[in-house]
Amino acid sequence: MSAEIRVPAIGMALMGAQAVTPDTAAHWRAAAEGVFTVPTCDNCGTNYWPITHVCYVCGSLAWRWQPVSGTGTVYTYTWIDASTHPTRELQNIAVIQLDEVKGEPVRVPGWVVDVDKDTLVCDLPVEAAYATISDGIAVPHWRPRS
Amino acid sequence: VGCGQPLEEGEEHLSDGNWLRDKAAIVGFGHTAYGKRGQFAARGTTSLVIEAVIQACEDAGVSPADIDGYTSYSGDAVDPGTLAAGFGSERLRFTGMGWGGGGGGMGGAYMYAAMAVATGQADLVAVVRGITQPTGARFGGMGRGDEPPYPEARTPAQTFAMQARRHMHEFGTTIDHLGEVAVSSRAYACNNPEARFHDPITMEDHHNSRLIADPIRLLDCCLESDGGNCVLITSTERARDLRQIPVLISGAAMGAPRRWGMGAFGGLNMAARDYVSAGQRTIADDLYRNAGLGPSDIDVAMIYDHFTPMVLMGIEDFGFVPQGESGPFVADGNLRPGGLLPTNTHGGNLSEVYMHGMTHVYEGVRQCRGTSANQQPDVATSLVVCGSSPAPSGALLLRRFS
Repeated sequence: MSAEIRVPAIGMALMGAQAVTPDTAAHWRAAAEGVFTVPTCDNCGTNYWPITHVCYVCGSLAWRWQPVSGTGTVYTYTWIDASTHPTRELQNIAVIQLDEVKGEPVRVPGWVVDVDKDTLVCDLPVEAAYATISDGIAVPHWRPRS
Repeated sequence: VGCGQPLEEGEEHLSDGNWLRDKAAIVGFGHTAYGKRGQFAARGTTSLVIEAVIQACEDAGVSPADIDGYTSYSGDAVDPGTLAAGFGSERLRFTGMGWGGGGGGMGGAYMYAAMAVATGQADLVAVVRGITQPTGARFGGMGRGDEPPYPEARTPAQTFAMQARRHMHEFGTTIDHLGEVAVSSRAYACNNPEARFHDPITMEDHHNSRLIADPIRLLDCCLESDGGNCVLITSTERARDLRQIPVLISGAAMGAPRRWGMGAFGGLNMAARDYVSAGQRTIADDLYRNAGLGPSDIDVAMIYDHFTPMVLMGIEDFGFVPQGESGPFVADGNLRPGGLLPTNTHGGNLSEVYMHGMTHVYEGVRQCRGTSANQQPDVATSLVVCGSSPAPSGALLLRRFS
Protein backbone atom coordinates (compact mmCIF):
# COMPACT_ATOMS: atom_id res chain seq x y z
CA MET A 1 0.00 0.00 0.00
CA SER A 2 2.68 2.49 0.90
CA ALA A 3 4.18 2.40 -2.57
CA GLU A 4 0.95 3.77 -4.01
CA ILE A 5 1.26 7.05 -2.14
CA ARG A 6 2.87 9.77 -4.17
CA VAL A 7 5.13 12.00 -2.12
CA PRO A 8 5.49 15.50 -3.54
CA ALA A 9 8.64 15.68 -5.61
CA ILE A 10 10.09 18.54 -3.60
CA GLY A 11 9.68 16.42 -0.53
CA MET A 12 11.50 13.56 -2.17
CA ALA A 13 14.34 15.86 -3.08
CA LEU A 14 14.66 17.41 0.32
CA MET A 15 14.15 14.31 2.39
CA GLY A 16 17.13 12.08 1.93
CA ALA A 17 20.09 12.36 4.21
CA GLN A 18 19.27 15.60 5.97
CA ALA A 19 16.00 14.27 7.28
CA VAL A 20 17.51 11.26 9.00
CA THR A 21 19.34 12.53 12.06
CA PRO A 22 20.18 10.71 15.27
CA ASP A 23 17.12 12.31 16.88
CA THR A 24 14.69 11.66 14.04
CA ALA A 25 15.78 8.35 12.51
CA ALA A 26 13.39 6.32 14.64
CA HIS A 27 10.46 8.39 13.36
CA TRP A 28 11.24 7.59 9.72
CA ARG A 29 12.04 3.96 10.46
CA ALA A 30 8.75 3.49 12.28
CA ALA A 31 6.98 5.03 9.30
CA ALA A 32 8.54 2.37 7.09
CA GLU A 33 6.79 -0.15 9.34
CA GLY A 34 3.50 1.72 8.91
CA VAL A 35 3.58 3.23 12.39
CA PHE A 36 3.19 6.93 13.23
CA THR A 37 5.28 8.04 16.21
CA VAL A 38 5.69 11.19 18.26
CA PRO A 39 8.18 12.19 20.96
CA THR A 40 6.98 10.59 24.19
CA CYS A 41 8.16 10.91 27.76
CA ASP A 42 9.73 7.71 29.08
CA ASN A 43 8.69 8.59 32.61
CA CYS A 44 5.04 9.70 32.38
CA GLY A 45 4.06 8.75 28.85
CA THR A 46 3.10 12.26 27.73
CA ASN A 47 3.08 12.64 23.96
CA TYR A 48 4.35 15.93 22.59
CA TRP A 49 5.69 17.72 19.52
CA PRO A 50 8.25 18.83 18.48
CA ILE A 51 11.28 17.30 20.19
CA THR A 52 12.02 19.41 23.25
CA HIS A 53 14.46 17.10 25.06
CA VAL A 54 12.50 17.51 28.28
CA CYS A 55 8.94 16.59 29.23
CA TYR A 56 6.75 19.65 29.78
CA VAL A 57 4.68 17.69 32.34
CA CYS A 58 7.18 15.86 34.56
CA GLY A 59 10.53 17.25 33.54
CA SER A 60 12.03 13.92 32.60
CA LEU A 61 14.88 14.06 30.10
CA ALA A 62 14.25 10.52 28.90
CA TRP A 63 12.12 10.27 25.77
CA ARG A 64 11.69 8.17 22.70
CA TRP A 65 9.51 7.99 19.61
CA GLN A 66 6.39 6.03 20.54
CA PRO A 67 3.44 4.94 18.41
CA VAL A 68 0.18 6.86 18.52
CA SER A 69 -3.04 6.02 16.75
CA GLY A 70 -2.13 7.49 13.38
CA THR A 71 -5.48 9.19 13.00
CA GLY A 72 -6.38 12.81 13.43
CA THR A 73 -8.10 15.81 11.91
CA VAL A 74 -6.87 18.59 9.69
CA TYR A 75 -6.34 21.52 12.04
CA THR A 76 -5.38 23.92 9.27
CA TYR A 77 -3.81 23.92 5.83
CA THR A 78 -2.56 26.05 2.98
CA TRP A 79 -2.27 25.53 -0.76
CA ILE A 80 0.99 26.75 -2.20
CA ASP A 81 1.03 28.79 -5.37
CA ALA A 82 1.78 26.24 -8.07
CA SER A 83 3.46 28.61 -10.49
CA THR A 84 6.38 29.33 -8.21
CA HIS A 85 6.69 25.90 -6.69
CA PRO A 86 9.64 23.85 -7.91
CA THR A 87 7.32 21.04 -8.91
CA ARG A 88 4.83 23.33 -10.67
CA GLU A 89 2.18 21.24 -8.99
CA LEU A 90 -0.42 22.57 -6.61
CA GLN A 91 0.46 21.28 -3.19
CA ASN A 92 -0.83 21.61 0.29
CA ILE A 93 0.79 21.79 3.67
CA ALA A 94 -1.30 20.99 6.70
CA VAL A 95 -1.23 20.82 10.45
CA ILE A 96 -2.80 17.62 11.77
CA GLN A 97 -4.22 17.38 15.28
CA LEU A 98 -3.76 13.80 16.43
CA ASP A 99 -6.45 11.69 18.04
CA GLU A 100 -5.93 9.84 21.31
CA VAL A 101 -2.74 11.30 22.71
CA LYS A 102 -1.65 11.52 26.32
CA GLY A 103 -1.36 15.10 27.49
CA GLU A 104 -2.42 18.28 25.77
CA PRO A 105 -3.47 18.11 22.11
CA VAL A 106 -0.62 17.21 19.78
CA ARG A 107 -0.37 18.89 16.37
CA VAL A 108 2.10 17.83 13.70
CA PRO A 109 2.98 19.20 10.27
CA GLY A 110 2.22 17.10 7.22
CA TRP A 111 0.78 16.77 3.74
CA VAL A 112 -2.70 15.62 2.83
CA VAL A 113 -3.07 13.45 -0.26
CA ASP A 114 -6.19 12.44 -2.21
CA VAL A 115 -7.80 15.85 -1.68
CA ASP A 116 -8.38 18.90 -3.81
CA LYS A 117 -9.24 22.51 -3.09
CA ASP A 118 -12.87 21.60 -2.49
CA THR A 119 -12.36 18.61 -0.23
CA LEU A 120 -9.49 19.74 2.00
CA VAL A 121 -11.16 21.55 4.90
CA CYS A 122 -10.45 22.23 8.54
CA ASP A 123 -11.50 19.37 10.84
CA LEU A 124 -11.38 16.79 8.00
CA PRO A 125 -10.75 13.35 9.56
CA VAL A 126 -7.50 11.85 8.23
CA GLU A 127 -5.27 8.85 8.77
CA ALA A 128 -1.58 8.42 8.32
CA ALA A 129 -0.22 6.85 5.16
CA TYR A 130 3.39 6.11 4.39
CA ALA A 131 5.60 6.44 1.34
CA THR A 132 8.91 4.66 1.15
CA ILE A 133 11.84 6.95 0.43
CA SER A 134 14.66 4.44 0.70
CA ASP A 135 15.34 1.14 2.35
CA GLY A 136 13.82 1.28 5.81
CA ILE A 137 12.88 4.95 5.61
CA ALA A 138 9.38 6.22 4.87
CA VAL A 139 7.56 9.55 5.05
CA PRO A 140 4.23 9.80 6.84
CA HIS A 141 1.52 11.92 5.35
CA TRP A 142 -2.22 11.98 5.62
CA ARG A 143 -5.30 11.02 3.62
CA PRO A 144 -9.02 11.33 4.26
CA ARG A 145 -10.32 8.68 6.62
CA SER A 146 -13.05 6.59 5.09
CA VAL B 1 -4.99 49.52 33.61
CA GLY B 2 -6.11 47.34 30.75
CA CYS B 3 -5.02 43.96 29.63
CA GLY B 4 -4.91 42.17 26.33
CA GLN B 5 -7.18 39.18 26.19
CA PRO B 6 -8.38 37.52 29.42
CA LEU B 7 -5.80 35.23 30.98
CA GLU B 8 -6.09 31.47 31.07
CA GLU B 9 -7.02 29.72 34.28
CA GLY B 10 -3.87 29.42 36.35
CA GLU B 11 -2.12 32.31 34.62
CA GLU B 12 -1.23 35.40 36.61
CA HIS B 13 -0.55 39.00 35.83
CA LEU B 14 3.19 39.11 36.22
CA SER B 15 4.09 42.72 35.72
CA ASP B 16 2.59 44.84 38.45
CA GLY B 17 5.23 47.44 38.64
CA ASN B 18 6.06 50.72 37.11
CA TRP B 19 9.72 49.76 37.19
CA LEU B 20 10.44 51.04 33.72
CA ARG B 21 7.49 53.36 33.19
CA ASP B 22 8.54 56.66 31.59
CA LYS B 23 12.13 56.30 32.78
CA ALA B 24 13.62 56.24 29.29
CA ALA B 25 12.85 58.25 26.20
CA ILE B 26 13.37 58.14 22.47
CA VAL B 27 15.21 61.33 21.58
CA GLY B 28 16.12 60.79 17.96
CA PHE B 29 15.89 58.47 15.02
CA GLY B 30 17.54 58.26 11.65
CA HIS B 31 17.77 56.07 8.62
CA THR B 32 19.38 55.85 5.21
CA ALA B 33 17.45 55.98 1.98
CA TYR B 34 15.30 52.88 1.65
CA GLY B 35 16.32 50.48 -1.08
CA LYS B 36 14.75 47.51 -2.68
CA ARG B 37 16.00 44.05 -1.80
CA GLY B 38 19.73 43.87 -2.48
CA GLN B 39 20.14 47.46 -3.61
CA PHE B 40 22.70 48.31 -0.92
CA ALA B 41 24.33 44.91 -0.62
CA ALA B 42 27.63 46.09 -2.05
CA ARG B 43 27.76 48.96 0.45
CA GLY B 44 27.20 46.71 3.44
CA THR B 45 25.30 47.08 6.67
CA THR B 46 28.05 48.71 8.74
CA SER B 47 28.18 51.71 6.43
CA LEU B 48 24.38 51.89 6.34
CA VAL B 49 24.11 51.84 10.11
CA ILE B 50 26.82 54.48 10.54
CA GLU B 51 24.88 56.84 8.28
CA ALA B 52 21.68 56.11 10.20
CA VAL B 53 23.38 56.78 13.55
CA ILE B 54 24.64 60.14 12.29
CA GLN B 55 21.14 61.04 11.10
CA ALA B 56 19.67 60.06 14.45
CA CYS B 57 22.24 62.13 16.31
CA GLU B 58 21.43 65.18 14.19
CA ASP B 59 17.76 64.64 14.96
CA ALA B 60 18.50 64.46 18.69
CA GLY B 61 21.17 67.14 18.84
CA VAL B 62 23.90 64.87 20.20
CA SER B 63 27.25 63.64 18.91
CA PRO B 64 27.77 60.02 17.82
CA ALA B 65 30.76 60.01 20.15
CA ASP B 66 28.32 60.39 23.06
CA ILE B 67 26.78 56.99 22.37
CA ASP B 68 28.00 54.53 24.98
CA GLY B 69 25.65 51.62 24.32
CA TYR B 70 24.32 49.67 21.36
CA THR B 71 21.56 47.11 21.06
CA SER B 72 20.16 45.20 18.12
CA TYR B 73 18.25 42.05 17.27
CA SER B 74 17.71 39.33 14.74
CA GLY B 75 21.41 38.50 14.75
CA ASP B 76 22.36 41.81 13.18
CA ALA B 77 25.91 41.56 11.86
CA VAL B 78 26.89 45.15 12.69
CA ASP B 79 29.52 45.14 15.42
CA PRO B 80 29.18 47.60 18.31
CA GLY B 81 32.94 47.77 18.86
CA THR B 82 33.42 48.84 15.28
CA LEU B 83 30.77 51.55 15.64
CA ALA B 84 32.19 52.88 18.90
CA ALA B 85 35.71 52.91 17.48
CA GLY B 86 34.56 54.59 14.29
CA PHE B 87 32.76 57.34 16.16
CA GLY B 88 35.63 57.90 18.56
CA SER B 89 33.49 57.19 21.61
CA GLU B 90 35.33 57.68 24.86
CA ARG B 91 34.19 54.26 25.94
CA LEU B 92 31.60 51.58 25.27
CA ARG B 93 29.61 50.61 28.35
CA PHE B 94 26.66 48.51 27.26
CA THR B 95 25.58 46.18 24.45
CA GLY B 96 22.63 43.85 24.05
CA MET B 97 21.56 41.54 21.25
CA GLY B 98 17.97 40.34 21.33
CA TRP B 99 16.83 36.84 20.61
CA GLY B 100 13.77 36.49 18.43
CA GLY B 101 14.22 36.45 14.69
CA GLY B 102 12.84 38.93 12.23
CA GLY B 103 11.10 41.83 13.90
CA GLY B 104 10.19 39.82 16.97
CA GLY B 105 13.40 40.56 18.82
CA MET B 106 13.07 44.28 18.31
CA GLY B 107 11.08 44.64 21.53
CA GLY B 108 13.99 43.20 23.44
CA ALA B 109 16.47 45.54 21.81
CA TYR B 110 14.43 48.56 22.95
CA MET B 111 13.78 47.08 26.36
CA TYR B 112 17.50 46.48 26.96
CA ALA B 113 18.27 50.03 25.91
CA ALA B 114 15.57 51.49 28.16
CA MET B 115 16.70 49.35 31.09
CA ALA B 116 20.33 50.35 30.54
CA VAL B 117 19.69 54.09 30.63
CA ALA B 118 17.12 53.78 33.44
CA THR B 119 19.63 51.95 35.63
CA GLY B 120 22.62 54.07 34.74
CA GLN B 121 24.46 51.30 32.93
CA ALA B 122 24.63 53.58 29.92
CA ASP B 123 23.86 57.18 29.16
CA LEU B 124 22.89 57.13 25.49
CA VAL B 125 22.04 53.88 23.72
CA ALA B 126 21.58 53.42 19.98
CA VAL B 127 19.23 50.70 18.81
CA VAL B 128 20.53 49.81 15.36
CA ARG B 129 19.51 47.51 12.55
CA GLY B 130 21.25 47.20 9.20
CA ILE B 131 19.63 45.21 6.45
CA THR B 132 20.89 44.13 3.07
CA GLN B 133 18.65 41.24 2.26
CA PRO B 134 20.76 38.90 0.13
CA THR B 135 23.98 39.12 2.13
CA GLY B 136 23.00 36.18 4.27
CA ALA B 137 20.54 33.37 3.85
CA ARG B 138 17.19 34.43 2.41
CA PHE B 139 15.48 36.20 5.24
CA GLY B 140 12.71 34.19 6.79
CA GLY B 141 14.01 30.88 5.51
CA MET B 142 13.96 28.54 8.44
CA GLY B 143 15.30 25.43 9.86
CA ARG B 144 13.27 24.20 12.74
CA GLY B 145 15.61 22.73 15.24
CA ASP B 146 15.06 19.14 16.05
CA GLU B 147 11.69 18.73 14.47
CA PRO B 148 11.57 16.14 11.74
CA PRO B 149 12.03 18.32 8.71
CA TYR B 150 8.81 17.97 6.82
CA PRO B 151 10.30 20.28 4.31
CA GLU B 152 7.26 21.81 2.72
CA ALA B 153 6.40 24.30 5.45
CA ARG B 154 9.50 26.35 4.97
CA THR B 155 8.43 29.92 4.37
CA PRO B 156 6.79 32.46 6.64
CA ALA B 157 3.98 33.00 4.13
CA GLN B 158 3.06 29.35 4.40
CA THR B 159 3.06 29.16 8.18
CA PHE B 160 1.16 32.43 8.61
CA ALA B 161 -1.30 31.26 5.94
CA MET B 162 -2.11 28.26 8.08
CA GLN B 163 -2.78 30.47 11.11
CA ALA B 164 -4.97 32.68 8.94
CA ARG B 165 -6.89 29.69 7.60
CA ARG B 166 -7.67 28.46 11.10
CA HIS B 167 -8.67 31.98 12.16
CA MET B 168 -11.06 32.12 9.21
CA HIS B 169 -12.44 28.70 10.12
CA GLU B 170 -13.03 29.54 13.76
CA PHE B 171 -14.16 33.15 13.52
CA GLY B 172 -15.43 33.73 10.01
CA THR B 173 -12.60 36.08 9.09
CA THR B 174 -12.64 36.76 5.35
CA ILE B 175 -10.34 37.61 2.48
CA ASP B 176 -11.88 41.09 2.53
CA HIS B 177 -10.66 41.52 6.10
CA LEU B 178 -7.11 40.67 5.06
CA GLY B 179 -7.52 42.96 2.07
CA GLU B 180 -8.57 45.92 4.17
CA VAL B 181 -5.26 45.75 6.04
CA ALA B 182 -3.37 45.91 2.76
CA VAL B 183 -5.54 48.58 1.17
CA SER B 184 -5.56 50.88 4.21
CA SER B 185 -1.78 50.59 4.59
CA ARG B 186 -1.27 51.52 0.96
CA ALA B 187 -3.56 54.52 1.32
CA TYR B 188 -1.33 55.80 4.12
CA ALA B 189 1.83 55.04 2.11
CA CYS B 190 0.54 57.16 -0.76
CA ASN B 191 0.86 60.24 1.48
CA ASN B 192 4.26 59.26 2.87
CA PRO B 193 7.08 60.61 0.70
CA GLU B 194 9.51 58.07 2.11
CA ALA B 195 7.34 55.06 1.26
CA ARG B 196 8.50 52.80 -1.53
CA PHE B 197 4.99 52.37 -2.93
CA HIS B 198 2.77 55.30 -3.86
CA ASP B 199 0.19 53.73 -6.16
CA PRO B 200 -3.17 53.21 -4.50
CA ILE B 201 -4.57 49.68 -4.49
CA THR B 202 -8.18 48.56 -4.34
CA MET B 203 -9.80 45.56 -2.75
CA GLU B 204 -10.10 44.15 -6.25
CA ASP B 205 -6.34 44.57 -6.79
CA HIS B 206 -5.80 42.67 -3.56
CA HIS B 207 -8.09 39.82 -4.56
CA ASN B 208 -6.51 39.62 -8.01
CA SER B 209 -2.95 39.56 -6.75
CA ARG B 210 -1.10 36.30 -7.10
CA LEU B 211 -1.83 33.58 -4.58
CA ILE B 212 1.30 32.82 -2.57
CA ALA B 213 0.03 30.43 0.08
CA ASP B 214 -3.74 30.28 0.28
CA PRO B 215 -5.29 32.50 1.69
CA ILE B 216 -2.23 34.77 1.53
CA ARG B 217 -1.83 36.69 -1.72
CA LEU B 218 1.04 38.82 -2.91
CA LEU B 219 -0.53 42.00 -1.50
CA ASP B 220 -0.83 40.33 1.91
CA CYS B 221 2.97 40.06 2.06
CA CYS B 222 5.50 42.66 3.17
CA LEU B 223 8.27 44.04 1.04
CA GLU B 224 11.90 43.06 1.21
CA SER B 225 14.14 46.06 1.57
CA ASP B 226 17.64 47.35 2.31
CA GLY B 227 18.60 50.16 4.67
CA GLY B 228 20.30 51.32 7.84
CA ASN B 229 18.37 52.26 10.96
CA CYS B 230 18.96 53.86 14.32
CA VAL B 231 16.88 55.02 17.29
CA LEU B 232 18.50 56.86 20.22
CA ILE B 233 17.39 56.25 23.79
CA THR B 234 18.45 58.10 26.90
CA SER B 235 17.07 58.73 30.36
CA THR B 236 13.96 60.89 30.54
CA GLU B 237 15.88 63.29 32.73
CA ARG B 238 18.52 63.90 30.08
CA ALA B 239 15.97 63.80 27.25
CA ARG B 240 14.41 67.04 28.43
CA ASP B 241 17.57 68.93 27.51
CA LEU B 242 17.79 67.65 23.96
CA ARG B 243 16.47 69.00 20.67
CA GLN B 244 13.19 67.10 20.23
CA ILE B 245 10.09 66.63 22.31
CA PRO B 246 10.98 63.43 24.17
CA VAL B 247 8.84 60.42 23.45
CA LEU B 248 8.70 58.38 26.61
CA ILE B 249 8.89 54.62 26.70
CA SER B 250 5.93 54.17 29.02
CA GLY B 251 6.02 50.43 28.69
CA ALA B 252 8.17 47.75 27.14
CA ALA B 253 7.49 44.04 27.16
CA MET B 254 8.67 40.89 25.47
CA GLY B 255 7.92 37.21 25.61
CA ALA B 256 5.60 34.49 24.42
CA PRO B 257 2.71 32.50 25.87
CA ARG B 258 3.01 29.00 27.30
CA ARG B 259 4.36 26.32 24.95
CA TRP B 260 4.60 28.84 22.14
CA GLY B 261 7.92 27.41 21.00
CA MET B 262 8.67 28.76 17.57
CA GLY B 263 5.04 29.65 17.12
CA ALA B 264 3.52 28.88 13.79
CA PHE B 265 7.01 28.22 12.44
CA GLY B 266 7.10 24.83 14.06
CA GLY B 267 5.95 24.86 17.66
CA LEU B 268 2.33 24.24 16.70
CA ASN B 269 1.52 22.94 20.19
CA MET B 270 0.60 26.07 22.10
CA ALA B 271 -2.94 26.39 23.50
CA ALA B 272 -5.57 26.35 20.77
CA ARG B 273 -6.52 29.97 21.44
CA ASP B 274 -2.90 30.99 20.96
CA TYR B 275 -2.49 29.20 17.63
CA VAL B 276 -5.07 31.60 16.18
CA SER B 277 -3.25 34.60 17.64
CA ALA B 278 -0.10 36.63 17.19
CA GLY B 279 1.21 35.07 20.40
CA GLN B 280 1.26 38.46 22.02
CA ARG B 281 -1.52 38.43 24.63
CA THR B 282 0.91 37.89 27.51
CA ILE B 283 3.11 40.66 26.13
CA ALA B 284 0.08 42.95 26.03
CA ASP B 285 -0.73 42.12 29.62
CA ASP B 286 2.81 42.95 30.77
CA LEU B 287 2.96 46.05 28.61
CA TYR B 288 -0.26 47.62 29.83
CA ARG B 289 0.55 46.90 33.48
CA ASN B 290 4.03 48.24 32.96
CA ALA B 291 2.66 51.46 31.47
CA GLY B 292 -0.41 51.80 33.66
CA LEU B 293 -2.48 52.18 30.52
CA GLY B 294 -4.92 50.08 28.53
CA PRO B 295 -6.24 49.67 25.00
CA SER B 296 -8.64 52.59 25.38
CA ASP B 297 -5.65 54.89 26.03
CA ILE B 298 -3.98 54.09 22.69
CA ASP B 299 -4.30 56.74 20.00
CA VAL B 300 -2.49 55.06 17.11
CA ALA B 301 -0.98 51.62 16.59
CA MET B 302 1.96 50.43 14.54
CA ILE B 303 1.46 46.69 14.28
CA TYR B 304 4.14 44.63 12.61
CA ASP B 305 2.67 43.68 9.28
CA HIS B 306 4.85 41.00 7.74
CA PHE B 307 1.56 39.46 6.62
CA THR B 308 -1.91 40.98 6.84
CA PRO B 309 -3.49 38.30 9.07
CA MET B 310 -1.02 39.10 11.81
CA VAL B 311 -2.29 42.66 12.05
CA LEU B 312 -5.77 41.26 12.68
CA MET B 313 -4.50 38.90 15.36
CA GLY B 314 -2.37 41.66 16.90
CA ILE B 315 -5.45 43.87 17.24
CA GLU B 316 -7.04 41.02 19.17
CA ASP B 317 -4.02 40.20 21.33
CA PHE B 318 -3.69 43.81 22.44
CA GLY B 319 -7.30 43.87 23.54
CA PHE B 320 -8.87 46.30 21.09
CA VAL B 321 -11.56 43.72 20.36
CA PRO B 322 -12.35 40.26 21.77
CA GLN B 323 -10.57 37.42 20.03
CA GLY B 324 -12.12 36.67 16.67
CA GLU B 325 -13.66 40.09 16.14
CA SER B 326 -10.84 41.91 14.38
CA GLY B 327 -12.28 41.25 10.93
CA PRO B 328 -15.48 43.27 11.37
CA PHE B 329 -13.44 45.87 13.29
CA VAL B 330 -11.17 46.57 10.32
CA ALA B 331 -14.05 46.28 7.83
CA ASP B 332 -15.66 49.22 9.63
CA GLY B 333 -12.71 51.40 8.64
CA ASN B 334 -11.16 51.55 12.08
CA LEU B 335 -7.59 51.35 10.75
CA ARG B 336 -8.19 54.44 8.61
CA PRO B 337 -7.91 58.13 9.50
CA GLY B 338 -10.63 58.94 12.00
CA GLY B 339 -11.13 55.27 12.89
CA LEU B 340 -10.94 53.89 16.39
CA LEU B 341 -7.37 52.70 15.85
CA PRO B 342 -5.49 54.39 13.00
CA THR B 343 -2.91 51.73 12.25
CA ASN B 344 0.39 51.68 10.36
CA THR B 345 0.01 55.28 9.32
CA HIS B 346 3.40 55.15 7.58
CA GLY B 347 2.29 52.34 5.27
CA GLY B 348 3.95 49.62 7.30
CA ASN B 349 6.03 46.71 6.13
CA LEU B 350 3.41 46.15 3.47
CA SER B 351 3.69 49.46 1.65
CA GLU B 352 6.30 51.77 3.19
CA VAL B 353 9.44 49.66 3.65
CA TYR B 354 10.48 46.51 5.48
CA MET B 355 13.02 47.47 8.14
CA HIS B 356 12.03 44.72 10.58
CA GLY B 357 9.94 47.07 12.67
CA MET B 358 12.29 50.03 13.04
CA THR B 359 10.05 52.21 10.91
CA HIS B 360 7.10 51.31 13.12
CA VAL B 361 9.00 52.92 15.97
CA TYR B 362 9.83 55.97 13.82
CA GLU B 363 6.17 56.41 12.98
CA GLY B 364 5.08 55.94 16.58
CA VAL B 365 7.55 58.67 17.51
CA ARG B 366 6.42 60.95 14.67
CA GLN B 367 2.79 60.61 15.72
CA CYS B 368 3.74 61.59 19.29
CA ARG B 369 5.83 64.50 18.06
CA GLY B 370 3.09 65.58 15.66
CA THR B 371 5.25 65.25 12.54
CA SER B 372 3.79 62.29 10.62
CA ALA B 373 2.89 62.64 6.96
CA ASN B 374 -0.40 61.11 8.08
CA GLN B 375 -0.60 62.91 11.39
CA GLN B 376 -3.62 61.90 13.44
CA PRO B 377 -5.16 64.51 15.74
CA ASP B 378 -4.12 64.84 19.37
CA VAL B 379 -1.86 61.82 19.59
CA ALA B 380 -0.48 61.24 23.07
CA THR B 381 0.22 57.50 22.88
CA SER B 382 1.46 55.13 20.20
CA LEU B 383 1.49 51.36 20.48
CA VAL B 384 4.34 49.64 18.64
CA VAL B 385 3.90 45.90 18.20
CA CYS B 386 6.89 43.83 17.13
CA GLY B 387 6.95 40.93 14.71
CA SER B 388 4.85 37.96 15.69
CA SER B 389 5.83 34.32 15.73
CA PRO B 390 9.36 34.19 17.10
CA ALA B 391 9.92 33.91 20.82
CA PRO B 392 10.34 36.46 22.13
CA SER B 393 8.16 38.94 20.38
CA GLY B 394 7.60 42.29 22.04
CA ALA B 395 5.88 45.64 22.18
CA LEU B 396 6.46 49.24 23.20
CA LEU B 397 4.06 51.84 24.47
CA LEU B 398 5.24 55.32 23.57
CA ARG B 399 3.90 58.51 25.08
CA ARG B 400 4.44 62.15 24.25
CA PHE B 401 6.30 63.95 27.04
CA SER B 402 4.07 66.51 28.72
